[in-house]
Amino acid sequence: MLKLVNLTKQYGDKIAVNRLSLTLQPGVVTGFLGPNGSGKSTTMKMIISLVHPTAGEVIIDGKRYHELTEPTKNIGTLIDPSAINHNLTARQHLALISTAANMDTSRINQMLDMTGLKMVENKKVKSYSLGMKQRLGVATALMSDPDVVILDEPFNGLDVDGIKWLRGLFKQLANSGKTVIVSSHLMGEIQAVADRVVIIGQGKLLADMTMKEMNQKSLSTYVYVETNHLKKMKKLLQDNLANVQELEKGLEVRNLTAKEVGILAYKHQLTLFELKTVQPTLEELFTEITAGKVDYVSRGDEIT
Amino acid sequence: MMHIIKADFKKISYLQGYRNVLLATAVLSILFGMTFLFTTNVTTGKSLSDLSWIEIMDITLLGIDVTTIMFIIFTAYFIANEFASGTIYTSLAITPLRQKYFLCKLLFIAKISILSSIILTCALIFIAYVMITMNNIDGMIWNSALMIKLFGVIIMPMFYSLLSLAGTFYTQTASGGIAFALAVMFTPALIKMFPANVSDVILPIFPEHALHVFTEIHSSVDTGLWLNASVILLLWIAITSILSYWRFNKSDF
Ligand SMILES: Nc1ncnc2c1ncn2[C@@H]1O[C@H](COP(=O)(O)OP(=O)(O)OP(=O)(O)O)[C@@H](O)[C@H]1O
Ligand SMILES: [Mg+2]
Repeated sequence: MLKLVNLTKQYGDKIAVNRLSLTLQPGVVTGFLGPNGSGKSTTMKMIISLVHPTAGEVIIDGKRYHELTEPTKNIGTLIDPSAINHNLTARQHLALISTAANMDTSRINQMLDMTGLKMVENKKVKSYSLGMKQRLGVATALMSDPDVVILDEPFNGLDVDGIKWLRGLFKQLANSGKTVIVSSHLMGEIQAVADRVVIIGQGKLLADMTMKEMNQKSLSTYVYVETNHLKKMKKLLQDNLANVQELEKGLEVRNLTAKEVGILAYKHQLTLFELKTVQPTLEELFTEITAGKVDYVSRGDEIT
Repeated sequence: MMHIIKADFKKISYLQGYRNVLLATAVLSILFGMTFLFTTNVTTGKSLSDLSWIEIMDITLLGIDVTTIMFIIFTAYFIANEFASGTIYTSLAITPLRQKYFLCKLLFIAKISILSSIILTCALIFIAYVMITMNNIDGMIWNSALMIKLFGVIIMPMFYSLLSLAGTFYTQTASGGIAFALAVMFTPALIKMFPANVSDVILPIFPEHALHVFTEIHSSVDTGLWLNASVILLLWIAITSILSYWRFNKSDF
């Protein structure tokens, strides 16, 4: 189990991470969200002792990271996909890691296969695209088959196939009982894969809840609809178990897709002026959160 | 700890850049040793056959000075690359204990520099030996005085490499490491320009003086002098290593 206790980092007079306390459970994919400069990377670096906390601590199975005998067996990390010697090939890079950490070399082939780098394993990393480097970074993090996997913005630079692959991989890792922590500054990247979402802003914990809770609150994707008969539409949608909020000119609908809303309107002969799926940006979330509309910090132990 | 050192040796076998520097070190050291040997007419005004066997040894072994400078550069780049490329993230994830990481690098550099300098010293001695026999210079003896000289020659590249390592860890740049090691190496030359009463006090503190205690062939055995020199050299390594480790240990990456 991974526990952050009052974790704080101060650079000069800038507080990068501010009294962050979290417990991260196995079998769960946790999305770690926050805008640029909110302290995501700093938090991740503090977990593996790359950055010394100003206050607070990180406890991994009862120990600090540097007290673990084989730390990479506990935690595998991807901090920066470009932080690789660019004159090495993927295979050489993984071979060096397996030598240094005294790992089983058979994992090298397994990882190259899994990340789809087999074809380019003997090409130098400098010829890799960002997406390929991300894949190699993921391979590095998973080399020692760690219990906890921490990846800093792993979706950056990945194409559609890559994103799909990575999401599948996270699900698979979580299902096999691993703790998966994935950071991002884009809600959309996380929404499809995370079971739990932690949002930080200016180093402070702003929200911590399960995806389910989040969907019930107002943070999730919704359908926006404008029609000639707003009241009637609202009733209709609510009868169909939608969660509806009335706005100035239209309705904010959750639990139903745009298609379902369209069909309902058609069946009841309502005229639609506008029908669209809206994905709130992280910025909108922040305004909402900081405006204090909802209490977004729930008990972290609701996920098992 | 052995695994980490082994991985560093593996790194050299993988990376052509490092292999080339090591190859260049070998070629240049031998080439310079031979150049010094064949230019005695110009430099000392004597031809080879007029020189004593000790002088021929001395001149040829100047090639190790080149080894030393090359190793200062090699060490600085080898260590600094981790900081520059960001591979320090992966390295420290594997070895989060900073003192262990530091010690592994120190042992690796010590190992590779001493190995290289043993090989190159042997090669240079062989060349000197061939010259000595070809020119029918006699009187050469493999005595303990010569052995001590060779000891001094062999440890010189390692000594300055470790200073380069300390400088690199302290500044986390290759240029910092190189500048520091070269400054320690060449400052005595500057100090020699000061009046004798000043330089006589300062010079013995510098490693160059201590290394000379070993590399100069003495007619008599003076254990006190050697002990003194050893302490000076060890202090240089200890103090610079501790300072650079301390700086490295409190760094955030
Ligand atoms: N070494 C450092 N020295 C000074 N300030 C730093 C240092 N590292 C990070 N910071 C500051 O700490 C804050 C948090 O940075 P961090 O990199 O953790 O953010 P992030 O959430 O990962 O952002 P991004 O989405 O851009 O990756 C930023 O304001 C940054 O400027
Ligand atoms: Mg970041």
